[in-house]
Amino acid sequence: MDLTHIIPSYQPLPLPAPLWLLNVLLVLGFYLHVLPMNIVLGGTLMAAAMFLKAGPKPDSPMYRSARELAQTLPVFVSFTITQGIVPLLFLQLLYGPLFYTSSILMAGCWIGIIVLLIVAYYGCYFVIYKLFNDDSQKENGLAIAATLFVSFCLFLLIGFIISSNMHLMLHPEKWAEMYKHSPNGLNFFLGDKQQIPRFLHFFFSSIAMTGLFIGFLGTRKKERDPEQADWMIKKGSLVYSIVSTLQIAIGFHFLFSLPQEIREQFMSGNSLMSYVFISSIALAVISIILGFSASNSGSVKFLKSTMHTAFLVVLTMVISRHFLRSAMAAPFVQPEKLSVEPQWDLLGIFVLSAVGLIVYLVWLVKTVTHNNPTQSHSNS
Amino acid sequence: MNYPIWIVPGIGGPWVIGIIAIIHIFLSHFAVGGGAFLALIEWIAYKRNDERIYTYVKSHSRFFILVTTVAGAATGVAIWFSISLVSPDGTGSLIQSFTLAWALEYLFFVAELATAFAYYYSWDKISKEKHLLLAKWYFFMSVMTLAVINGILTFMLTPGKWLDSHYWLHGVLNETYLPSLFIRLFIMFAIAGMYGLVTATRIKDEDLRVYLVKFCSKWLLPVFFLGPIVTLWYLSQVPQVTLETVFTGIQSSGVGNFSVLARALYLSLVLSGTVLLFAFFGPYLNPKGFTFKIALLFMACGLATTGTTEWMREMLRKPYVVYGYMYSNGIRKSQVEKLRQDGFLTDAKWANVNTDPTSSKQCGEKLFQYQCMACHTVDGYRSIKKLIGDRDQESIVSFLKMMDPKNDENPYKGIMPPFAGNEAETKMLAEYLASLKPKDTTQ
Repeated sequence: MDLTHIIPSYQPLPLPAPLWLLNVLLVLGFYLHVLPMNIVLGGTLMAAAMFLKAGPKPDSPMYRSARELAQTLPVFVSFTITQGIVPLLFLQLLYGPLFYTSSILMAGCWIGIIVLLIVAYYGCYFVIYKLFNDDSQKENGLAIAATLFVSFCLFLLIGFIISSNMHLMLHPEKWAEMYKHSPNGLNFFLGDKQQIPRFLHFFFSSIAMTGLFIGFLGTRKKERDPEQADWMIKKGSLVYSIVSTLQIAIGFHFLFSLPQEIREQFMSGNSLMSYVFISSIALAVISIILGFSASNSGSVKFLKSTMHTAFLVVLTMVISRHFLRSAMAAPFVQPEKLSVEPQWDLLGIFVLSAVGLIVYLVWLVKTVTHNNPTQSHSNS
Repeated sequence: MNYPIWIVPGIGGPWVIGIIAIIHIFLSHFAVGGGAFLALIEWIAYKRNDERIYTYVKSHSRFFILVTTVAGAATGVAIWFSISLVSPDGTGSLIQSFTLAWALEYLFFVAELATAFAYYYSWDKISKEKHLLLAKWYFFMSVMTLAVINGILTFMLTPGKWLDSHYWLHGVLNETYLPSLFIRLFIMFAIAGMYGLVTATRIKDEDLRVYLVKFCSKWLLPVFFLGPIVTLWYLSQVPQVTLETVFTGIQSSGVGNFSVLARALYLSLVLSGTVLLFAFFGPYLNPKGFTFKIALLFMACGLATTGTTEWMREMLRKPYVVYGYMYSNGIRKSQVEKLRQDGFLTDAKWANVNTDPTSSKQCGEKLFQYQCMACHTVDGYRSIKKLIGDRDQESIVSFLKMMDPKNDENPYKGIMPPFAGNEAETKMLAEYLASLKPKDTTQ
């Protein structure tokens, strides 16, 4: 089916940097978005479940872990939004003709994301400022769990809408019919057999990564509160390993839902695309073994190794995702055919500013973590 | 022509952007001005070693975090979403021209947010000096985000030398860059004062409340004393034809035929005057009687002023989305001549989807959607039905022909794009528009 008549044209303006660099920034940006996003999605669900399971026992390790996890959520939500800017920017630049069209077709849901986001985000703050109490004995764990669960459902819905749009942009054959159905943007796309396994793959990844994050929170209190730290490291890494094992099955289900020619590219063993994909599976297996070791021993070292390997797993998965999109978009748009006129001076400013940002962030972390009790407010 | 049109009944697509943008501006301006406010008030607390003021800054900083990092950031994303839905060609052009500038703004935004959280979560945990330093850094980073985005926003009205060179720096450092930067900073300080009043009026200690309420009111001074001067500077840089439309509107206001631009200007002036009087007679002269509820009302006034002024600024850019380059309907100026010769529907992509090419009325409807709906709706905001009134097809054709880009006598040239279609399409559009007229039931 020839669909060129409905694939919009790029603007007649050159790309501001070489394509490979723009692709790297797109992938890197998405990677930095997906890491905090995992904690937001998995964190709201796991904290809700832990509050519910712990019941009225604020001193139990589970309740205390849930409380600590919930405290961190707003910062993660904020960074998920901020880090979302980069992939959104480069996605528009490189795949704008597909992305803008699919967004317009499901405009109602797409713009609705913002309302869902604000409500879900304030839900996380509501828990901290209204439902938490200085004396945790007075807290209503059920109300906290319920609020976090509502936020989780909203975040999940946001994820599903985004995932749906990312699929729809690769299916121009559905566009005309959808536009006929509603030119007001009241469409939703569910007609792709890859969507559910892909979405589940993302969803379970968020649970696994949140498990690791709970473990990481535990490592920070190893000296002050070894018992609690031990619980958090062991349970957190156990969640990671069990869910990641399940992920392998879901991942293969996803792989076999892909069109055959693309699946073969992933499994061929003779292209960059397949090297990255195979590495991600190998790294996932290693991280699962490390995770089980951390869960058995409660060792900080194993936990951190699991974390570092898991970061690599996510990175390789994100790169594979990019290859998948490029392959599926190739029949419709070819960003490589666009002219390039690099804005080297602006690129230089950008790179210098990026280095400056890293230096600044390091200074910032040092400044706030280096306590100076003799001059602090509480002692003044 | 390139993309499907998102049809929003009643208010039209542009107002979706408008509503989101007005809310976002009121929040994001607080994010910048509020940084200066926090830094200054904390500096005062530090100099006076006044724990009461410290307590206030702490509670204000929580309010600040809750407003700016949640609603402020989310509505910023919402603007992006909405512009790409309503004006994908315009958004695509901006993104393709300024990708790296946006990426640069993102870096400062990350630094701004990280500093905001570091500032808020380090109360009572680091020394007072360091904490104050964080407030200053926050302000610097937030101003840098403004410095970048202001370049892209002003580019849309005055792209200047970029039109010839397509060089990013020509686009960013354009004629209205500096006056716009200053006026935005002044407005940001005013908005920071307004938000400050909301938290200051809740202070129980009367002496402190009176002091802080008066302090907050002074944050409106720059915009009222320096704002008019900078506005004149700004207006002196906007395209001449736009100013002519404003002045024509003002001159004809006595006969009730004043243009939309003049109306926007009047409304903005009236509301700004209200805010000035409100600030002077309220928190400045009578800080004791200025309550929390009045502060909220004052803020609503500020929101209305911001909304109207931003609307006025947007109107100045009509009929373009990027002045002199792309019209509001996504058609590039350079395309118009060809489209008038060869026809709009010939190469149009989405305008032909689900359209019967033999039905002139359907084609006319598509022409209306692609050429007019960037500003008009059928029977909602700027209703085309109302504007057509009793005109028949023939008089609509004459009207469309008058909008020839070569016609210097066209009174709408500063506010409406030319019709970019051939003779046959002019008739199709006129046929569709004439069909919207209510049927005469008396016969």
